[in-house]
Amino acid sequence: MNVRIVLAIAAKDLKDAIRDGRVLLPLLMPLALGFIYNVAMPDVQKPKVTVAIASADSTGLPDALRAVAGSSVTLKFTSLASAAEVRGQITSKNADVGLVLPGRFDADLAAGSAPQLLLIKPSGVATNGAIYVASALDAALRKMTGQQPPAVVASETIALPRDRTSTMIDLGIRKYLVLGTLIMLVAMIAIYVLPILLTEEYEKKTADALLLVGKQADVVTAKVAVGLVYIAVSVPLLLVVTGLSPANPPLFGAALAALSVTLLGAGLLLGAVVRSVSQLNTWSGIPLLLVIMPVFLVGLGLPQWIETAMSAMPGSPAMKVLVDGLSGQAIYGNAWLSFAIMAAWAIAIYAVLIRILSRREA
Amino acid sequence: MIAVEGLAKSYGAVRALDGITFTVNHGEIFSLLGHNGAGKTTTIRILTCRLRPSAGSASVAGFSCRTQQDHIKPRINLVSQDQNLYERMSGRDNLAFFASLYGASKRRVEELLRAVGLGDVASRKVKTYSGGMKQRLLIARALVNQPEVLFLDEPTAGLDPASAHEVRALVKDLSGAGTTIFLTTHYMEEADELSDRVAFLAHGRVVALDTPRELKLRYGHKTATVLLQDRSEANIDLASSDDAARMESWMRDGRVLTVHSHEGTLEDVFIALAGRSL
Repeated sequence: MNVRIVLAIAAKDLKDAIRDGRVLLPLLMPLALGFIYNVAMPDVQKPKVTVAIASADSTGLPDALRAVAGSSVTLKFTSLASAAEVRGQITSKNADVGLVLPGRFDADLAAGSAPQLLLIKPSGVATNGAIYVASALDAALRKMTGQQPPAVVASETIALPRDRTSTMIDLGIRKYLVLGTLIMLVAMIAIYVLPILLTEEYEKKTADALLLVGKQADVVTAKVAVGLVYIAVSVPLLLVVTGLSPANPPLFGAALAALSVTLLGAGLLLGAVVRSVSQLNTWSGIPLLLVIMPVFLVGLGLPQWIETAMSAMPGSPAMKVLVDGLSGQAIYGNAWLSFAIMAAWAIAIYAVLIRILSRREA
Repeated sequence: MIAVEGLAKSYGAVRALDGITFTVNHGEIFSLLGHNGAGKTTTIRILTCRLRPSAGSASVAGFSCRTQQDHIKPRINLVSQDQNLYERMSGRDNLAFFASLYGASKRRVEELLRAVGLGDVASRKVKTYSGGMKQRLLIARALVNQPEVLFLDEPTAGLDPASAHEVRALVKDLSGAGTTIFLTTHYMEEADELSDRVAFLAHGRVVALDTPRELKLRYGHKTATVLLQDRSEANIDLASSDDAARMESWMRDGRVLTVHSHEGTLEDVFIALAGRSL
């Protein structure tokens, strides 16, 4: 392989892309989609409950409620001077629920004199926040007085198969969709842009001129290099545009690298098989769909056999590892299995590609 | 400069080349003529290291086409019948790209653009060029590495007479400067005008190889048309003793006005060898 030739061909392709809408569009479309998702789709976050509280004396009730809530709900307390102000906050929808505590509330509670606590909630269908605070009050008051609960409740967590809803909650819809768009971006570069670059050289017979000075390997390597440059530029750009920052960069990067290598191989294979750009336009949709569809359907809660079939496609394991890499949690886990599936695809694709190219050279 | 011996190439059951042998000398213009599918392009593809032969040997500039491709490629170039240029790029960018592939200088690019008369339009996109301009750009591209051997595969195909004349003039200049030219063409007059030697290829075999003059003498008609005083015409066979006697008689009687000899053409040679014209 001749590095000078590879770099010259790659530089030509990168420069030429600026003039070629067929290359620019697939690069810009996922970036635009990512931007739209980022703006239009909110993250699914922990429920937030605003509590307006009026207490003549300082009280430990907010802390007790927070302790009971744990990490499942974010409680925000607003201290006010009177019950009227509390009612005003609820009426103006600045608070989900209100608490009015008499003077010496904590002391009376400790003394066992059962002070009266007023819970103010909106009329009609109460908000989830009001229901939550109302149900947590008993446990919080017991906690403040040091009373044991009537029973000790032990909890156990059982790992269930992932479903989309839980992934969305853990990760957020915005991040989930942007990750899907990121894979779509890599797929568009690898399975659409790269084959265009390769097929056009053969269709217009400019490859004949390139092969006068270089080898088949130089041409193919140059095209892969162009694909890698596009991915290396556009993926960080998408992350910057959407404000995503992987919590586990090595895992995230490894998943992207494995996916890129696999899909670039698929793109080269497609470029080696089809004879014209128009054929490519006709057929590239199939591999693109096979890669992109499972990404957005991963863990949708579909029947097991569909889920298994989806998981065997290269996009699905990549999505799982990217989700784990972005969140820094083992939401899907089993990263090695995902990498193994991608590696198996890469080995199969490159084996067929090498066979086709060596036959073509003969 | 080029040595080919027993060269064969098969595509499955089809035998495109069937053991051809020839040599091309330094600075020579050598033409390979034949029908479509005779094996001309296959020969060029093997000699330009883009196709592996099935059998036999071929060398260019002393290097084997099988094993020393890296030594051959910098020394050769090709003007193909396909106008395979990057159409979205300008003429200058096309040449600059190929100069970068060969490690040639930017100055060389400008020299070539001027040499082929494209200096004024070098910044225009190639898709706006006429067929003749594209062909001249292809020739400039093929010279970017100052090749010792230049392969021309149907270099004037589809060109108007003026553009074809320009291309032929460029080929003569290159040959005059010492470049070895390997030419394939369908145009017999072009081969006759340009070639030092010509090889005829039929069904993957070289059926004749010599200078155009010798081939024409060997295979062409040896006849002449005589215009007599009474304005009548007579065709005579120069090899016939009877016709020689008739001619002598006319000359003696002062009846001959003009004599037009009919030297054979390469096309006659080809028909004689291959059974039909190109």
